[in-house]
Amino acid sequence: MLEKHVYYAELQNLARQHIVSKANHMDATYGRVGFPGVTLSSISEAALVEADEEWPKYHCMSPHGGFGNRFRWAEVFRKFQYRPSFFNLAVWQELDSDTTVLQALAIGRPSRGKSHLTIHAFEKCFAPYELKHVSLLVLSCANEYAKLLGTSRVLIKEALHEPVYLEHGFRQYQLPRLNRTFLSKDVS
Amino acid sequence: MMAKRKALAEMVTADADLLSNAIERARARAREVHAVCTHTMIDEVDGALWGNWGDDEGNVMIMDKDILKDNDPFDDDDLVADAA
Repeated sequence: MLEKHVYYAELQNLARQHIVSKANHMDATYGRVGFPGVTLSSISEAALVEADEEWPKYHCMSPHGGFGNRFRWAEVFRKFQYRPSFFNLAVWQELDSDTTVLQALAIGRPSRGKSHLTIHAFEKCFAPYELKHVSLLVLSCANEYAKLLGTSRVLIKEALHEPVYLEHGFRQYQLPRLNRTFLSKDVS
Repeated sequence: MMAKRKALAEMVTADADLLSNAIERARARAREVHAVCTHTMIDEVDGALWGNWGDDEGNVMIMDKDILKDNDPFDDDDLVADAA
């Protein structure tokens, strides 16, 4: 079992590295840093503590009141971590030499047969120092991990602000059995 | 005592081999995929926008209200097959 966890953790690490190398390439090509001081990593205990204790201070800035009004990230993480292939991402940013902040968390999992990867939770920090367009990093990592897994689609369950995802190429997707519409993007 | 130590050393070596094999398999998989395609969603961003984001994107939260329930229907591969 441990070797499966290691296999998928390394696969996600490689997906993150690939996204970082692409971002660095864009920085060099266009002479502007897209996401300064950002590190992409697995969700750690420190990330869960920051999301559950620091983020709620800024939930008043969110029109939906924040994820933490309904769930604790630590609880969600424990629910997902049993699956070795679960998708998880923490976006950290170094604001200055003394301050590193958590900018986003995302979690999801592939279907059992690995035909699709679903993002079930994603929240960004609403503090005044929030990282603009952090969704691009989250969706790129999910898409890249899905590609390494061999899945054909990334699904988003219950996006609260659909236009952002439509802008990133996601489309509404009817799932007849659930009688609901979700968002989907083919893995490219 | 020596036999016990030797057995323990062999077990640790075997576990370490399994883990390093898992890492190597993941790296081989990434090499195989990237040999065919290195495209990412970042490549789809308009260069004029890169690092010059303008307004923020607002509330981008994804919140599956059933996230803590068991029997997630999204685990089912037929979910997508049915829709196709």
